[in-house]
Amino acid sequence: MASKAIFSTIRRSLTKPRGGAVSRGHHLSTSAATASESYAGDEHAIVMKGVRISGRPLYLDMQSTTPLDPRVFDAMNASSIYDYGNPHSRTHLYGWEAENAVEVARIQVAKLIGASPKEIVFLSGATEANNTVVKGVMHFYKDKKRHVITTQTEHKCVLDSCRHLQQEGFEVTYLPVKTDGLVDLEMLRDSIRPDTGLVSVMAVNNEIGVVQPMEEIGRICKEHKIPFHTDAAQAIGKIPVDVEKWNVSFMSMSGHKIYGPKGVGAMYVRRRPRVRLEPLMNGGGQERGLRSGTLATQQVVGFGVACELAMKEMEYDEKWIKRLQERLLNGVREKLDGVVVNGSLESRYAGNLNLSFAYVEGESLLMGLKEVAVSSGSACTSASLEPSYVLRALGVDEDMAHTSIRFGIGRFTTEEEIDKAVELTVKQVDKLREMSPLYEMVKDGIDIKNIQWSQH
Amino acid sequence: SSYFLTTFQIKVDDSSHITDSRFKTFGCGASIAASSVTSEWVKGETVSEVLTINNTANAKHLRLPPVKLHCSVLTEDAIKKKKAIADAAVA
Repeated sequence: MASKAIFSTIRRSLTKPRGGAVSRGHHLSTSAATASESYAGDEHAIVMKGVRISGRPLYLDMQSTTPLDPRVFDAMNASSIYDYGNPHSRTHLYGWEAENAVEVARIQVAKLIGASPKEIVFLSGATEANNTVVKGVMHFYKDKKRHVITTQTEHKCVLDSCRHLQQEGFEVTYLPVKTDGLVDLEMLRDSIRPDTGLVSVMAVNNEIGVVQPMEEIGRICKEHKIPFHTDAAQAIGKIPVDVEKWNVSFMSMSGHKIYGPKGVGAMYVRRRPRVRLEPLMNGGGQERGLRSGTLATQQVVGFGVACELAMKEMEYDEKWIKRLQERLLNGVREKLDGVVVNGSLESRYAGNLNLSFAYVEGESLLMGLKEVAVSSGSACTSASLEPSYVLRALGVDEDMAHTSIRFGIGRFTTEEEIDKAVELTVKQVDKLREMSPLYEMVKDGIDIKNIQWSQH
Repeated sequence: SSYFLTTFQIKVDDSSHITDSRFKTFGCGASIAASSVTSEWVKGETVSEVLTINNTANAKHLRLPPVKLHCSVLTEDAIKKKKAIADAAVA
């Protein structure tokens, strides 16, 4: 109990706002701490972008990014000051020390995924890793291999890289997923062609949190001798990841999803059997020639420490997060009906709870939940007015796709935050349902599937 | 496409004036705002005046960004097509 209190105090004091936009007369605590007080205290209110909230929102958006673990910060801090040498400078102590720091981090990352440090390439993040692998592999083998297989629920950067390849003349199969979000292995098998050069399937989905059957997919790829790439940004440090068990040839990793710094990530590139790829960044040949450029030593160090901590605390985190997930889901289900979990509940990372609330629209719910920082899969919140493509791929009905909210639970989330989130969500959903003609129709027994939506 | 469903109910007196109006909306924040504003503005108007309502005043008052303009258009459609209006006009 004491350690949790210490963590939340550290987090609160470290996430104190910087910059002029916010008044700093008082120590601004999260809404959970002010839960017991009333919201009458105007001195605590924050006004930003025309929105007024009574305190800092509860942070429940762990899939978009995670706060920096204070221990990672300590390591990065020291490294920023002392390891300022260029890790690629061979000729003097400053370079050697920086290089050492990078190599230590390399080992930490490799251990987390069961790889050899020689197989880890540092770069700026999972987006860069995904781009490098998808484009780099296909460009290298472009004379013989012209086909890529991926899924419809991949991260935008993978899908966009594939689209880029299509413009260059390659062919891409975007596998549909089942209603639970998992890939159909038979479909995967059927789409394999003699000229398939890469299979890319993300391990844990960032929107709905489902965990794909990695071992099975790896086995299929091994059978057909096709390189298997996985975007494991949401997976490492959260579920056990083993490049041997999964038989992956490439893996993308991100620092800021596991309580590490932003702006850093890594790419796992298998050495045995060797897979080649064309680098995206040309230059001095750093990182085995796969990613030229001077490494940001303190970012890399931070990433390494984050990986080591994740490895040590994975089991404990999982227990804590699972407990909070159940608390959240049960808390909401006790008070509300029409709550649907998007994606498989069994094959899922516990920290991602994507819920749809029937008869209520996602953006209006988010607007009312300003005191909880969450994200939505609704059309109105994305710039293009299209509902989330992931939910669409799940086959979720149009009206339900507009109502989803993604709750992200993490290492530092507290029970009070969950309880407060439940309370606020229930309140908002009830209020919007009161205002919703759909809910009224349902209560009156009208089948809402028969509504004629007119086009505009 | 985004989904937006709104229903209006209006109370009309013998001289065809709208004395009260209520609305229910399923939709994004902008659509809730647009239908709320419309339901306020029709109070006191006659049924025939309402049939000439234009959505641009609504959008301007709310300062709707371009991506949300359709919310005010749909609201205008709803209040005009409203069965209640049609019935009141006949009565």
